[in-house]
Amino acid sequence: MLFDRLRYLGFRLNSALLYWLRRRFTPAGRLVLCGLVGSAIWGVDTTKSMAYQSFTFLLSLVLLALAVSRLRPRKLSVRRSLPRFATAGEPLSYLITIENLEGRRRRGLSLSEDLSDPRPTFAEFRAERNPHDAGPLMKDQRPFWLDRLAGLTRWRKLIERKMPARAEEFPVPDLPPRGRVEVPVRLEPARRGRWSLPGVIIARPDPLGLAKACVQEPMAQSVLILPKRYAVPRLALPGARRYQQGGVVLSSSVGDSSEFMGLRDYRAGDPLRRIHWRSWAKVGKPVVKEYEDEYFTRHALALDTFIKPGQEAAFEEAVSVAASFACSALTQESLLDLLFVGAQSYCFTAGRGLGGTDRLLEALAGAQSCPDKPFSELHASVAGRSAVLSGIVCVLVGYDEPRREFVARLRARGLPVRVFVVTAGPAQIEEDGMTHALEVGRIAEGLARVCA
Amino acid sequence: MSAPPGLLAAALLFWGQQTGLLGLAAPCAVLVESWRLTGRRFELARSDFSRISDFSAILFFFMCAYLYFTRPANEAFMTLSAWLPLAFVPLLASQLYSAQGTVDVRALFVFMRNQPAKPAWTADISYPYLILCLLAAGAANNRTPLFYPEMALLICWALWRARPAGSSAAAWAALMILTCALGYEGQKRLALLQTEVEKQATGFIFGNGGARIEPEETVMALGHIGRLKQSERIALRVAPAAGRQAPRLLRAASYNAYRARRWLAWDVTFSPVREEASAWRLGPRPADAAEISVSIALEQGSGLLPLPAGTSAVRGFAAGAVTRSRLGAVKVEQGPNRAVFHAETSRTAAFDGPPDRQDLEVPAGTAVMLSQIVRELGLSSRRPRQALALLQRFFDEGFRYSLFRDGPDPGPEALEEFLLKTRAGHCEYFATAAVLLLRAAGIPARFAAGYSVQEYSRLERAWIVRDRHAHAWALAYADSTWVELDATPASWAAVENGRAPWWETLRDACSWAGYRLSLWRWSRALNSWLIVLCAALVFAGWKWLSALKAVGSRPLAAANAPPPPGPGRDSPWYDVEQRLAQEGFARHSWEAGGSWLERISAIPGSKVEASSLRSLLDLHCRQRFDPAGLAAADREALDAGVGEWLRGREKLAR
Repeated sequence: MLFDRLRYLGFRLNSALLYWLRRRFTPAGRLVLCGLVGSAIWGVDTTKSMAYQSFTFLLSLVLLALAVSRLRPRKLSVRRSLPRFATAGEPLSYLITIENLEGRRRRGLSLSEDLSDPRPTFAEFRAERNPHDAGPLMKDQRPFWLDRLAGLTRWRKLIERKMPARAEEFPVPDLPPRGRVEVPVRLEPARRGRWSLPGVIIARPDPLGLAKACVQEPMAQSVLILPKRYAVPRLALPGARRYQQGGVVLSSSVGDSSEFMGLRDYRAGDPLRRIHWRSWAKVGKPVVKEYEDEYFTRHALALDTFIKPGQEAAFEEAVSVAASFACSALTQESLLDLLFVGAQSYCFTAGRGLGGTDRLLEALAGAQSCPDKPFSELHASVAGRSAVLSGIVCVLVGYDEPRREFVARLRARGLPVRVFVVTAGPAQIEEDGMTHALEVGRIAEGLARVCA
Repeated sequence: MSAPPGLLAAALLFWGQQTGLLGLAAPCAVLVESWRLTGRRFELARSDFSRISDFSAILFFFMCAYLYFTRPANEAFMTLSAWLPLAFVPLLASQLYSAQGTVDVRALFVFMRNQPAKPAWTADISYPYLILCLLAAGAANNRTPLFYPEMALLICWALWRARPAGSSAAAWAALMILTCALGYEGQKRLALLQTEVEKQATGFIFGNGGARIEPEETVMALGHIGRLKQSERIALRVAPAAGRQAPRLLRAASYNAYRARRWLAWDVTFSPVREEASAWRLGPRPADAAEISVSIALEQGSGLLPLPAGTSAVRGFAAGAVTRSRLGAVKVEQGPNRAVFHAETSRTAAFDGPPDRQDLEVPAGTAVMLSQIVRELGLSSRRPRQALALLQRFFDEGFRYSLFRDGPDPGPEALEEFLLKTRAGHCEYFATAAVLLLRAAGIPARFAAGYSVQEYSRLERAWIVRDRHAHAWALAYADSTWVELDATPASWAAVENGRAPWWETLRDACSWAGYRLSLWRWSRALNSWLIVLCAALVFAGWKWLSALKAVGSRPLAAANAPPPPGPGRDSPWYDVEQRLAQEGFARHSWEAGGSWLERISAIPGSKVEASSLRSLLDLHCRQRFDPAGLAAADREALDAGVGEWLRGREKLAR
């Protein structure tokens, strides 16, 4: 516990120091700081080495640069044009407009997004497990033993998970007096989810080019990062058309058109568009039109969110696989239910005019794992809809006994079930035509093999 | 951003000038700048960088080993620091002469070599190398006034390139001038600060007494308040001759004057000792001479030798000079850092100078008190040997050993307080009291400082003496010879040993290992070891030069590197390609296998049926490009098919 706390504090301080160095010093300035530290070590005894003279020179240089850099750039107006969506792993490009409110030219400015602090809490650090705890890793994925021993691997993993993108600096073209320039910004979101951008940092180097003066322009905006998607060919999902209670409500535009059956009294919950106004006028009470119920194809995409510690990477890949299928499996003739369990059981339906792929991707962008709930919740959610489903695609994280039983029960109901099992390492799963194993880091290969 | 032209060469020349290695620095400077003139650069793979990095590392470790075995530790570190640019110049040259212009960081560290590539893992090492040159030049400690301006000029030159766009040159120059002035003033004040801190720290560290023994005076802890602490470090290792007992006391110095709680060697000069038959002779060889060997670490090769009483000669080490005082102290100068010397001793002989008036002097402030005790004990009326025995009994019976005292510092009355009130103290109290009481009784006496030999180590099979075994006792002139009188009660050894920490055994084992290594380091075996090291370096250098030669044969313009190894590189299909190439139907580098077969099958007289080879080509392609690879059965089919086709082709040719 004490050792954990000490190294957590060490990592936290180190992280803060590195952030400060990156923010306040240019690459040349950081090099000078390295020289300063080196000369401090070599020149600790002024009688044994002349390096102390380098030390005092470099120290004066750094102190002067820091003092001069207190003069911060002001009177700037900044505006950001951010898109609504982006995709994890794909570049996100947008423009930031900077306006010079002063009557003199500004040169040498740079800007960067002020990303939120990615450092984990001590509880998160303690709860995190080493990557190899989940199973053996490939040689090129194994962390350096010293990093693992010191806990640096865990720290890096958590930072990567909380850091939406690499903080990069973009040069600002020369700002004419009272003019404006547009700076193209290109970031690469690493993870799905809602990404908050609290503001922009504008930096100006000091005349020596060592330290930077920074001004933070608050400008809170957010962008939804959709899950990463793999190229998958259209999946041939078997299954017959099923009776859909409610019929045309679910198919307002295309497909089997509605057949008028007759009129009946209004029941609570009937949509307004079904009210037959003329009959209401005649009889004095609401009357609705009744249509023949419909039969059409409806598939479910069930995502496993019940992960164990160490399966976070597999879960992320499972979300990506689900997103890939959500994009490819949806047709104009069928419905697709996306089922997963988070804080509660969710079902998002798309297709036949009810909504497009974007709706499912938004839902998947926000999908969270629920390690504290039993897998049976997903089972219950899927089983409750099995009567109307033509087929199911399950994206599972692991293939243990409860999951096998889940699949077996669905198959026992006569439902065709295609199972994709995402695992952190090579998995011992008996693959058949309907069950496939996908390994983290080789998902694209696995999907290409499955769909070939 | 790479270094501007000439900067690295200037830095190397500056380094060479400061370290006195201008002869090596000049070719290095030419090496790092000549690529700009020739324009010749090479395509170096990561493996080439790794190899060059390994070569630099070997060079570095060779320097470490060479300096460790040939120089004292502190000197070795600074010399190594001064030589560092030499070790890393191959790495810098590899970057400068490479087409990439940067070094892949993974090549520098063995543990990173399996890591997948990242864009951030390439680095330009020219500026870090510049810093290394500046630090190394400083480590040379060539205290010339040119160091500061030259160093500042090089840094300004380097920073001129880093000047941001739009920055005023005048502002930059003004700031740089201010930096130079501040830095110059700062370095002067820093040197003064260190002198002041050292002065204060020396008083703080050594002010409470301890094992430090100086030939001219001893700083004692009389009146010291609190607990005296001395280290457990092993200071000496003593091995007596077979069948002889180890001496109980080893004397490093003796003093004849007591002034203000200090013992001084008054009016004493050191005279050179003659070296006869590789022995430093202190007196004629006695009839009952025996030898003991003592191992001691001498700080920078100088110090006092702790010797048993009656030492007539010391030998077994080389030294620039050995001197002795008439009080019996033997000093070595320009000797080895670790000396194992053999002392020729006798139980009867003594070679200290005869007593004089100084050996009877009693401080005026204590004379009355001492005379009273002498009277009470009746020391004056006894023969010297009897007086010694009586004094020994006096201290044994009425006093106790203690390393702790509380209350205010008694000042000059420390001795009086010890003799009349507390009757407890450490060895310096007992030795001082004994010497002064003897003098008050008319017996010439001196104060001796050295070590008590009392701990036998089973691990080392020798007597070991720790810092906390530092001891003081009296020397009395009785019956025309100097006799040792250890007035400290015998319980002192038990008190000292009780302070040993629980990890002492482990530390002793480490100390023993370090001692053996140190002996080997300073032994003659080193020369042969260095020869082996040099041979290994030459071999390694030859291997790496061969590798560099191979690299050099791949200039950028004519780079036609073989394809990187990959799955299926051992496919037998290449035999088919080779065979057809021999027959003049070579596949173009840009041509796909299938197209090639179609093309050559259409050539009249080629006798190649594309259909017969198509299935083999398919298997080959699967082996090369299918992530799942090729099943064993398919691989066998490919081998068999190719073999059969080659045999058929052979027959056809015949």
